[in-house]
Amino acid sequence: MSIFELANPKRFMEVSGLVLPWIAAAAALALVVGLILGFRVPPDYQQGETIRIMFLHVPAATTAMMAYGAMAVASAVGLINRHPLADVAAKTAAPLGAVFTALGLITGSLWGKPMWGAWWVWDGRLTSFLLLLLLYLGYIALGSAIEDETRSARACAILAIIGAVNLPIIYFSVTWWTTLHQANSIFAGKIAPVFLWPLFLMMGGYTLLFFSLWLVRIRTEILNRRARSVMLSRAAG
Amino acid sequence: MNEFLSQGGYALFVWPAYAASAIGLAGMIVATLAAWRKAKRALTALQDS
Repeated sequence: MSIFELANPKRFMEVSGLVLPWIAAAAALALVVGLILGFRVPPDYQQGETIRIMFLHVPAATTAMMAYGAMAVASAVGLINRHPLADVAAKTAAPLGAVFTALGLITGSLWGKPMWGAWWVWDGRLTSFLLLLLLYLGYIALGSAIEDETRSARACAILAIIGAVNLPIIYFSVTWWTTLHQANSIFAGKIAPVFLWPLFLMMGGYTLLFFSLWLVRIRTEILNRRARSVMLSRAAG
Repeated sequence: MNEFLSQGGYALFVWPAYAASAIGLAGMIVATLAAWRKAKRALTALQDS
């Protein structure tokens, strides 16, 4: 089955209805086990118990960026292939991404205060991540400002694609500029193995939770559009 | 138990981080499911009418 068969809303409803319970269950399992393990690891030798904030901060931040990437890809597909389901996918990812971004900022601030002595600094990583939140909010505002569905989706898609430039900036910000934020350490083997299990479980849990909620939101929007077309055809008939 | 709650003196940072995350995630789940149920009900009502 090709991905474009899934682009048929009816087919999408069938397939997503089948996989959704499994993804949601996996998300719940990963989050519960990750949470328990996260409170069982010993405190970090430098950061003490605040290391437990990492199990929330890193998953929220990576999920926020992945959600934006997914939104930008869906936007590009919607723009190029003119497929309404891709527009729906992009539109429904934004509010979720915004919440994950906010959680990344809040938990980062609560981690920064005890470790750096500051809730906030205007360095490359924090500023570009704040820009991610503004991009999400701008995207949502733009979408609700334009009444016409197709025009709204097109304008939003262009904003989403341009904003995707910010993703590599966020990622490399800690390499390019002087910062208080620690360097990219997860895949550089710089985290003690004992912390990796809860971290990976929470990252998996956050990611799967995003995909579960995203699927439900796409399904919801399909129902809403179905209802609208029923009403329109009745009004016309 | 007290040791657990105090989080090595960092309770004021660790617990708000967990509380905020719980509220954020739970809020998304509740809002998403509520919208789904509402859409389903509306479509059913429309099809029955």
